[in-house]
Amino acid sequence: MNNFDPRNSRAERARLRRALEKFNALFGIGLALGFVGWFYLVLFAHNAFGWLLLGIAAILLMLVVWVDRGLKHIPLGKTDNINDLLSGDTMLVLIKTTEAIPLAKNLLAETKSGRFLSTRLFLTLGVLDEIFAENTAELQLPAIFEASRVVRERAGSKQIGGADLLIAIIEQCDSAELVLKRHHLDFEDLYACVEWFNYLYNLSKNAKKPIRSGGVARDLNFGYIPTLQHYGRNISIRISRAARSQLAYTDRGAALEKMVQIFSGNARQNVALIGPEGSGRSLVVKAFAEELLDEDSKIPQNLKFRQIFQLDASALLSSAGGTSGSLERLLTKIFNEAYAAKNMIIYFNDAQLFFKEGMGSVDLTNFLMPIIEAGNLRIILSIEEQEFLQLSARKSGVANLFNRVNIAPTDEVATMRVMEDQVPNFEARFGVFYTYPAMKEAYRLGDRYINDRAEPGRALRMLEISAEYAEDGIVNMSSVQNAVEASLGVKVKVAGSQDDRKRLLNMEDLIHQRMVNQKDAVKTVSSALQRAAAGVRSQNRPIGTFLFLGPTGVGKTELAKAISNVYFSGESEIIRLDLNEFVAASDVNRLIADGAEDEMSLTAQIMKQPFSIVLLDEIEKAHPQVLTALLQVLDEGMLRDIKNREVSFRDAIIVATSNAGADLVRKKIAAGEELPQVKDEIMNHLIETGEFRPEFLNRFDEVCVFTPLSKDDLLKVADLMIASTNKTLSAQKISVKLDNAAKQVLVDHGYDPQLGARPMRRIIQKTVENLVAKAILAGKAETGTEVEISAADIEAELA
Amino acid sequence: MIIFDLLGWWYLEGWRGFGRTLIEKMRGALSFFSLGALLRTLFAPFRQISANEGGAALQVFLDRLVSRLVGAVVRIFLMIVGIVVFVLEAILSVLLMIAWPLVPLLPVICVVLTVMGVSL
Repeated sequence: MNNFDPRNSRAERARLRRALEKFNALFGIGLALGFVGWFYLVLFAHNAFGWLLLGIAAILLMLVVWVDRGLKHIPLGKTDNINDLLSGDTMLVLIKTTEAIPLAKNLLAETKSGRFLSTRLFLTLGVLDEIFAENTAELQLPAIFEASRVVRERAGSKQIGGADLLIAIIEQCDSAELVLKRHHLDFEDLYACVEWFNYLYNLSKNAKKPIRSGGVARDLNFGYIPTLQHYGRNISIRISRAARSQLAYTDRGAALEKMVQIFSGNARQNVALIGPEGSGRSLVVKAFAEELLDEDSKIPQNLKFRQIFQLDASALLSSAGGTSGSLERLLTKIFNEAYAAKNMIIYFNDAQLFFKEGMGSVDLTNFLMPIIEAGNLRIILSIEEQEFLQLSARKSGVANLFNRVNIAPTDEVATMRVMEDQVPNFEARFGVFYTYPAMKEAYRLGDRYINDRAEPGRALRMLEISAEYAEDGIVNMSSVQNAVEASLGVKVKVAGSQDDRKRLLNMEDLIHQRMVNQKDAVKTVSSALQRAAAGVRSQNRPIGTFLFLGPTGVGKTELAKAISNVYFSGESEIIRLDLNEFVAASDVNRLIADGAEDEMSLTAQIMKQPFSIVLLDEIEKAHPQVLTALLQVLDEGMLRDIKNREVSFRDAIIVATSNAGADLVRKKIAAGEELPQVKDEIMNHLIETGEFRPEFLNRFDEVCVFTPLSKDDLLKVADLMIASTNKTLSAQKISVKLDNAAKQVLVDHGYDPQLGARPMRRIIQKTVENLVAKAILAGKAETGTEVEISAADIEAELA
Repeated sequence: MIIFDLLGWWYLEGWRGFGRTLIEKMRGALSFFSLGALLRTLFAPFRQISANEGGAALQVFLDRLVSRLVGAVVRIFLMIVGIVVFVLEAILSVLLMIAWPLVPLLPVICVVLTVMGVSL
């Protein structure tokens, strides 16, 4: 059952094929020469030797035909014996060796499916070496064959090909999973690639089969359509099996079946294909066109050979001169032709352009509705859900006129399969080669960062823009990441480089370089962000969500800036919203407004800059409905904008700040209580006083309570501020120096327990910065000098 | 032995496969000329060119009649061409099916003819 016999008849044929196919061209030339020689010698030279040439030509003819038709495809045997299941090229490798390790390497290099796996997954001989070097399990051929039967079944392979047997060998190795992981692979990827190989193999095989589309008699029964041909596009003109194959491979055939059912029935023959942009509505129409024109398709006779014409809104509008009257006349002519032709289905792609007034669109609702209502024309409408709802709302009864066919966005498995189907086309178009990990990355990043369309459109768009970033003609994971970073302005390689890792590891220290005290908050935030950067976080939530509680001027905003600086390497990545401006229920609309109308809306800003800190200042002042909208951000990392697009916050850090409970914090700390102990008490206080709902507080990863600053803390704040002033002056090569007494004077005047460090900034401006300015203007501070400021100077300035 | 493998394939799978290919080709010709459809729609109006529905009844009837006659003539012509092509293809296919098993005999016959010194 599982013993390979190298002399079995199928293996013999494989061997013969290998031996003969390299001479096939030679056989062909010999065959042609033989016939020409026979023709000349026997008929013109009257030489009997010509017969011998004909005999040789006959032998060569048999060999050519045998190699091409008999040996090229070795069919499955009739039993379940392994010798009857193995593919030809796999048996040729097995004839050379049955030792597992060299066998695996040869399968990778010498079989078609093995090479496919190798190139698409970067599964190199080096990776195999690693697997075998770390393997401790025994590799027995019968066990491998047994495993290969399972692989074949799971991958849907007709025969046990090179890739199936290779996976079976790898599966037997106890080290395989770990090694594959090191190379960003897993067994699912291997299986998916074999399925992909099988799909492409069958596709190319089926492409050779002719499609019979009705012959010369087909169009004799149908009328002429000159106007329709001028303004429309016949999508039935170039028919293949491509769209139907893709629908079947991605398990989306139901929409096609429903369309056939609707157009075969006696009821109103029209369809509204409803789904988001990019979900594949056009593909379903193409597949329907293929089905209609295929003589062998199993559809009712009355549907056969109908053709689908797509109407182009812009061409119609420009021809009609933009007035709805002339457009109506033109459309009447087109519809009359379509009706008289008897085989037309009119397809309105982007149907909303015909149903609303605007740039590049015209409202023909009143003109079209009676035509649709009459039911004489077969119509396909392709429209987005939102647009269809708006149309239904404007014109009651519209929804009832159409047979709805919903086209939902594809899930991950189906999207990957759509890409598998489309990648060969993209490769031919862009002259690049896509690896499987690049496709997975295209799905992941497209799903996250492309908002203007649904899957599989997002992933396909990613593949398109990644082609430009191919390295040596190969689109790999990093090409896709580079494409996203360059095209969408999104940083996707967090903690990628050594520098990034070092910075994140020392996050706490780096933040403390600009933050005074608040050790508890800094530690909490740093730990949470380190976990996120290491990938130990849910991918379906923001990177981190924090609520900073505490009195004014204690460093809440400063910590947000410091996080931005350390985590995103800059402070420009802060999206700041003062929620005291969102105190009405209607302000929710401002949060989710379309970028074209309000570029400062939260959703518009995060779409432009997904890697950001979203700083929600004074959150306690926001209207409850605004808070409810924000709950979704905290919980799922997404928010739907006014156009119903999903906007991702999953690469953002959400920081909300609030002064709520500040008095209690001050009181407790003044009473000598430690922060960790009072934190729960403060939270309970906020819930009891109704300032925050418990479910809202629970949505944050961490709630950080900031302590009021002491005079000692303020001394350090003064140091930081003077350092900041010196940084500003460094361009003029001037610096300022304050002794301890001077700093103490600053603290004495700048300390206000209610306002934290805020007054200190004003005091430094009024004293230190004023003194330096005067010194510069008086010519006392020249380039390279250090301005010394004493306590007396400051007192004098404040007097 | 390679020769037995070749002959075994030639007279079994090869011949069967060749037959299938010829049948496919004939089906292709049949489909191209769509004889069935031509017959079914023999008197259908040609390219739906028919009367102005708003005209007089007699005018409509006559227009439609002319259109049907034109359609019938075109279809009959196409049917004749299609039948001729199909019959020729069928004859050729039968001849090729007969010739197929003779090909392996050709080398032997040719050797005999060479030895006999037959020339045309």
